[in-house]
Amino acid sequence: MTTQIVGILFDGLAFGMLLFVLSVGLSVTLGLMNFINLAHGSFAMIGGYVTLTLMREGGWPFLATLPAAFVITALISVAFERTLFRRLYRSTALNQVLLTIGLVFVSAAIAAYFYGTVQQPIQVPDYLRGSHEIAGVSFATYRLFLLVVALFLVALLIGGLEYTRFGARIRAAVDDQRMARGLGIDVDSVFAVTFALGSGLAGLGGALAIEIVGLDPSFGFHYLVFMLIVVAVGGLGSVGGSFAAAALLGIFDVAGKYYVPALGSFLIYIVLIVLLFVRPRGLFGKR
Amino acid sequence: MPAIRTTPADTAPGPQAFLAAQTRWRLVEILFWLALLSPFFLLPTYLTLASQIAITALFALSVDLILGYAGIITLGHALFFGIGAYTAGLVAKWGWGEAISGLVLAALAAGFVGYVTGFIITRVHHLALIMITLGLGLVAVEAANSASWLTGGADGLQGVRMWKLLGTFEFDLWGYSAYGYSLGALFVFFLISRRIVHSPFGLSLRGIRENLDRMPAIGAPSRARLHKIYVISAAMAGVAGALLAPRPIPRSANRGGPNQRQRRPRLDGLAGCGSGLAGGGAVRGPDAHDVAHREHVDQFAVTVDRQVSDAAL
Repeated sequence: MTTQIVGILFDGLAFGMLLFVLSVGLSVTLGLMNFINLAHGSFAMIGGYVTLTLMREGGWPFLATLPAAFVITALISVAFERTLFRRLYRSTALNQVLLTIGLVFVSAAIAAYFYGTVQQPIQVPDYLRGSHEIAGVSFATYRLFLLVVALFLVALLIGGLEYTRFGARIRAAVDDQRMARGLGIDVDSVFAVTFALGSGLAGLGGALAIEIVGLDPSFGFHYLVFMLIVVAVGGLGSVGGSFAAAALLGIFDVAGKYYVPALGSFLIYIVLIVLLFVRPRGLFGKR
Repeated sequence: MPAIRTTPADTAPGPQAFLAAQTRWRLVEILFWLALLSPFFLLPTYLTLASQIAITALFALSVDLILGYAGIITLGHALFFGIGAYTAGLVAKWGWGEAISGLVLAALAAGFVGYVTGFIITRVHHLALIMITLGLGLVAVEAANSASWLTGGADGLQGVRMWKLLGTFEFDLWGYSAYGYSLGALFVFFLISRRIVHSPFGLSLRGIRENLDRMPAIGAPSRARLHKIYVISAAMAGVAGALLAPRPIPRSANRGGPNQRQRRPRLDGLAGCGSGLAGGGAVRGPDAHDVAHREHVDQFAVTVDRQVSDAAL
């Protein structure tokens, strides 16, 4: 019984960490510019396909493709930000939603054109396969790896946001954009860099996700909902909030599907509705 | 510097005259509606498609009322489309295949759910609103999928038998009756929407869209008005869904065969709507994921449609 609970908690936490890596960038960019970027999931998908292509065509080792997924996704996203998204910062939420969801359709069609609509499996290296048994509970190695990566990223992000000059600029711009501009912070370029970093993280998340949830052209749609839930529940612009929300969502989802399979998928949506109705700004949202 | 317009009081139109001028039918509108009759003569083999376009247009009209006029950004309006479709389908399956009363029942069912969810919708804004509407839509997809004893699950509702429309016109494979039925409903609800948006109530909705907090100060209770239009729009979306019910049922239908047009008709209401516009090429295997995915496709296609129906109004 205990081992079962520990196992579910572990699996849920690992899934939650994946969601955290996928969505933390969206949370910060939404908090920073109030720009509703529904194409965030597509950036994650790009990262996934980068890893896939490099491993299949280039014969790269899995771990080496992860930084590449981050960098290439970040570069592509910043190109979109500079050419398309920035025109809509002052626009209505509806226009932003329409533009970015259009990009999701385009990206899904492009991915289907080049890679087909089937799931694309990858072969992770041997040392990430199998599982470790600790005190009678078996922990899948890949999920442990995921957990370590996510915790490392959390430390990096919180450290970067709290203790560096650039982090202070981001926080200032999220809290009060006009005041930050008044103090001479170039909010636009802060945002461009933040956007690139956030999308790069999504790309990394997409690459990490292949082994857990697979990769196909509908990735951008399917995980968009999860990302938005994490962001909305965690509160905009809050790394800690995203972390807590992602962990909660992952654990709720896995536990719900395990214990009450009939109610499984309902559970998170109903929790989402109730939570946002009671706290429209999310669990940790300030504004 | 903006010029200040001073209109002499005697030439300024009164509010009634302003609204009357807006409601006047223009020649191009009349021609547009007459043109919608042309598929009967020009494209008689595409009437099923034409009726699906009419259904999607009606759904878009319902979204436009709340999104375009009242400013409620929703991603979950397909919920009401699905409720309408299932209501009409189930009523017909249980032995009452009369088409017009099916529409009324669907409108009542969708309107009731709209009334209940309206208490939530009118109290949240921005991202929370988007997410809650999306969540409601997803809950509905899950519910329709898991209640397969009622809805047929992912395979769709089977065994829907509609009676002759008005006791005279049979819903056949060619879709003459289906297009007439859909077009008639679209026209009726277009007239209703036109009346609503050009009424003082419609004007107050536009005011609420522009400034939610200020409208109560000039005597328009924002939340009550939004709730009202939300229920109206939900009922209209329900009617749009209900129009799907009399789809022709080919006897030798086998899904997965080479000819996808002959696939088993599915009443997976939440997903089926945009097959005219968006999902036309997206006939795929019915699994839960697909349904959820296409629900988004249709919903967003409809949102884009807003511009079109906005121009039409």
